[in-house]
Amino acid sequence: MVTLTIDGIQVTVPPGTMILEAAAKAGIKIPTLCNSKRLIPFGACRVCVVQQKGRRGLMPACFNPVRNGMEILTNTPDIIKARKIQLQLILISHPLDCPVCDAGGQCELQNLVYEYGVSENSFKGEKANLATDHVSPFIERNLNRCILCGMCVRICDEVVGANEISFLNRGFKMKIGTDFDRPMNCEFCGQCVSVCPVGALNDRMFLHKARPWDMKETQTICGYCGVGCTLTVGTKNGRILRVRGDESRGVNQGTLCVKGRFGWEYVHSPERLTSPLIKKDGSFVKATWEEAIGLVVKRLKEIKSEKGGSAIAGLCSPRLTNEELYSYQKLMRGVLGTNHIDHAGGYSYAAPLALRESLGYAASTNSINEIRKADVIIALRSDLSETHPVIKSEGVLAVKRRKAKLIVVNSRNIYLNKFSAFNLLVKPGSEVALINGMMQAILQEGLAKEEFVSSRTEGIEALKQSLKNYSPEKVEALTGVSRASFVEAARLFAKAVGGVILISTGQASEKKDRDLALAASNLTLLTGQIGKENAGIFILGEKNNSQGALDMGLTPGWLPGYANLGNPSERERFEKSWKLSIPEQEGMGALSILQAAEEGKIAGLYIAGENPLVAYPDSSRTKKALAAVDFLVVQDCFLSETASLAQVVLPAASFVEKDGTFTNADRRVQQVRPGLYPPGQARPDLWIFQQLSKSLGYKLNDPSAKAVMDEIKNLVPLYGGIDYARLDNPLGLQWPCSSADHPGTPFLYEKDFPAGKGKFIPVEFEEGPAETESPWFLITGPTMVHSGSLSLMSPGLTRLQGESYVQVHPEDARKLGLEDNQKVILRSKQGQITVKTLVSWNAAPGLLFVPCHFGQVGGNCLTGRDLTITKVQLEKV
Amino acid sequence: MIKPLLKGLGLTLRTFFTRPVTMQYPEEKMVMYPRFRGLHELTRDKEGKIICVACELCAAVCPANCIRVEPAEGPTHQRFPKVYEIDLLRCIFCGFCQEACPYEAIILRENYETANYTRKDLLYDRDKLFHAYQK
Amino acid sequence: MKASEPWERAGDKIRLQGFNLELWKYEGEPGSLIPLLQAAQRDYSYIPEAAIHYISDIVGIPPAQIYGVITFYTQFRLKPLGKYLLRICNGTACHVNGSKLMGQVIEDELGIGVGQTTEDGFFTVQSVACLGCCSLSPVMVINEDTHGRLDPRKIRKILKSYQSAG
Repeated sequence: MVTLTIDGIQVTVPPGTMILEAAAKAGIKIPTLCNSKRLIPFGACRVCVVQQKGRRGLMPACFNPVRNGMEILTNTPDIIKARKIQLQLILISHPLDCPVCDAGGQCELQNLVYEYGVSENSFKGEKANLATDHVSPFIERNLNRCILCGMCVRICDEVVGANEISFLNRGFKMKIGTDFDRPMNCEFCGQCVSVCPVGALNDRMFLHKARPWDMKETQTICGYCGVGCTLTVGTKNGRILRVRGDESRGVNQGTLCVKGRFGWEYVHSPERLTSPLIKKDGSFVKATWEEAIGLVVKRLKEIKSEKGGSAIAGLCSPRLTNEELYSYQKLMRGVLGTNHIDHAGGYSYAAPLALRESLGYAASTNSINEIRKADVIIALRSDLSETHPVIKSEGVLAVKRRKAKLIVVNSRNIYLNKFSAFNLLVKPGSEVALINGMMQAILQEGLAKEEFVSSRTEGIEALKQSLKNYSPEKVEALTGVSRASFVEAARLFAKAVGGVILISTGQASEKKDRDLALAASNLTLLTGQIGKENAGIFILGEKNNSQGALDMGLTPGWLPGYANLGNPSERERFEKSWKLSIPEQEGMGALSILQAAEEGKIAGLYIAGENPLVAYPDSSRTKKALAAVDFLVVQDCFLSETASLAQVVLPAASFVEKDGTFTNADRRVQQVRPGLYPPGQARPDLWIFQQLSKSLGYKLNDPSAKAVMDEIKNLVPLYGGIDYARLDNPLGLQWPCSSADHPGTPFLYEKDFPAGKGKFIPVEFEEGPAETESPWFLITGPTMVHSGSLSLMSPGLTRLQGESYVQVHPEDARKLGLEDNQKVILRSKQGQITVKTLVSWNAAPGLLFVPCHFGQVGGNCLTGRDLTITKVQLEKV
Repeated sequence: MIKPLLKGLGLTLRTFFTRPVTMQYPEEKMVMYPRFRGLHELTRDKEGKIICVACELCAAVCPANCIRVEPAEGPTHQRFPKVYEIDLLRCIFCGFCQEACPYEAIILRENYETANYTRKDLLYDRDKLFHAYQK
Repeated sequence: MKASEPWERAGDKIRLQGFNLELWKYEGEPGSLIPLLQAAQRDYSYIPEAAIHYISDIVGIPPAQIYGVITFYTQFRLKPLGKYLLRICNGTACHVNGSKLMGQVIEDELGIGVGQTTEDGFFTVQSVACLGCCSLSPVMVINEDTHGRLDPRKIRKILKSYQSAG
């Protein structure tokens, strides 16, 4: 540690700290225009100059590291004069159009000029006169206001890794722009906008909307993917005007993706449901809540008394809050007497459950911010830039700052390859074989952590036995990856100080999640990359509360907190607390529910937030199943494809309109705070569940989300110490958190595994049946811009990507004589769609990619319920 | 007793020949000093267009909180006031808005005849303020 | 690289038409950017947009950064040179003897400023620091021919002679 004095205040900081940070620690604010804690010091603005006693001249505080015994002065007349001159120099070319500039009121330059009283400028010079870029989506660039601090260029390089903008020209003509000054065509994550200290880069959607002081800002959690980024939502007059990330809050530390920052428009979509709808003679009629709930209760009661509770089933979306999910399963299980409840297709959470089998907890093992400190990262079948762009930024930080090695295992040439040391392009679905091959290589070379394996794990012999079949030659044949590269990757991972495996899951992923997670867990156990910091396995859920839905027991076989439904004592614990009885028999999973519905066994289906018609495999069969249900209730923000088949539609609130908590992919329980009131008669899901239950004759729980969390806390040991008072911090709390004084668990299994030892569970690679008729492999998945039906309701996002497409490799395109934007028909056993082609190097030869949303032309029209990789035929129109 | 009476009559007699102070208001109107702060006007540029750029500084400085500005993006991407409202019932005619305005886009001028029958009529919107002094 | 651009396969490498395949030996080496740009400029006489994307693929530097490098160095051009490269000296001696005025005359005559090319692709005007013949100041060089002791009338005459020569 280094001790120094800043303005007479003594402060002790770790070596390598810059004076600027040390001063911040001492409570002294040194002004700066080009420094951010997210970026490497750059020293462009020279406003942060300070003086060291006993040395001549001034030095910038942002990139001079502290030394022992330094005496720093930050506020002498010399320094103030230098800063003033620096500001005047900046103001030579900076236009004084503050009244029309959207940064006015939060502009760092404006603040400093005011603070230092720079009222006139003795320097004369020309103002720049460059064209403003009004064309780029989401981002408005006014280069005249640019002060060339380089923050946008640096964040695009260091954190995002996109390098869309760069310094152009030289000297006075220097500016920031793209090659050939074309409009921007990047991820549109808006990181550049968020760091711009002046008004050179603006949020286009916020352009000329309001002054910052007029807005109310609410800290909440993003409602898109499982990363759980903290959003700062700015609202005025009941409308969202801007969403930004706050550097000092949340796992994302200010980083957001295009959906998080610009994808909120659906909240104000005119198509939002604003009153309950009841279907009369085939068309929807607006109704009051009393009518709608009355009808739902009447019909559900009828079904329950006629056919029993097991004729009722429920599908709930993992986008709801923990409190809502808990209340939903309580309503379904206790009040309606059915265990047929499920979420997210019933198969996409196989990976966390597999980790529960082998390790003990059904969740990622470590914290998201540890990824940036890892040495070797395996992105296992994870197209992170599309599914979890903020996690991609963590990877970019690791690769660019720590020279970490990224190993990409995918069947497509994904964008992440740009940063990878190894691009292991596997045959679709053969990832498990590759991991097995890697383990075999590790065993053969004696790189396994023997001590860890012998003291903390069990079942190594069975694993060794099963791995014998995975000689490098065989794995090479199975996966199509060259032996040298995966063996080298295995060596790297085994020798790494911190080795991380990232697995993104979701309804669109290839359906071998369980095997994949077990293989990954075997690999980490074998190499001892678990139970320590900066290592471990991450299961990245597709939806904002994928983790919470599992924790809250939204599955046919598990009660909240992974209490086994089949265990009478566990069931009794819940029954006693709820004063209700829970049916004994394990329920059906989502796909079985649909199957049963098709067979006429399900009379009442209550869907909350899910859109099975688009998100579940085999759309045509799903449609048949939903049509066969006597009484279908759908609760959603929009009249989704599924909702239009319903008898009753209940309008729900969006994530910015309700209270509650989400649990993100690193087990972090974070508070969601309302920034708006729901439109019209729309209500938070919790309210709807409680009203329904009340009409069914049971008081579900106290109305506030806080009270529900208190109830959860008492029943779920993992959430034992979580209450709203403790959640009111920038980082939330990570479960397991057993008691009120438990600090939360950033990484699991430090001392031991819940079952004593970690289990090796060997998995075998099974090749799919060879099908020759349909030659093309089809991969479906979310894209960066869209994640389902909500994002499609945001006009800004649909402008970026408005229709479905099929990604074809240029080689294949040339063989077939296909061009960009040409219509083709894709046909599988399940159905067919007509889409336009997108010729892209990101596809792999022989493999097509179709986004999984876009309703009637989405990938799920082609996929099958058997959850194997779909093979399709491709025809030109 | 008679003395004060005569004194009073004397005063009457004196003022009888001076110019009357009272104005016959609706027929006769008072001319205000140029710096009088009466009804606001949203000024126009040489081409007759509104000068205001909706920077909202007037709204920020207003002690009575009677100004509401909603900026928007015009056809040439310029900033303009989509909504500019002054609630004259709340306005205290302090002139801070005029002082804060960076473009002299709002001026308090000579018109003091703002009385009206309903409260709604006293909520001056952008067009009313823009045409406030147009004959 | 955009798929719509002219490319073909050569072994396991992708090849841009007219570009030296040997340059793939620099693959993944960011330090080889400048030689690659120089090679492109040698082949095409300027750096075409497609070459930027192609080089970006080779060295793994994004196009925007490469564009930044190109615009930083005066040696790189993004547009083809004119038939005649007119270099007007701006060194000390020429400056003292009125090279500024000469530059102005050239600008008036050709209608283009320094660093630009006439629309007919005839002349490209560049400004250089010194041509090493200060005794002839003010001086300009058109392709290989040196023209010294310039005055406005002489410049007009010289330019006319090139224009009429075609």
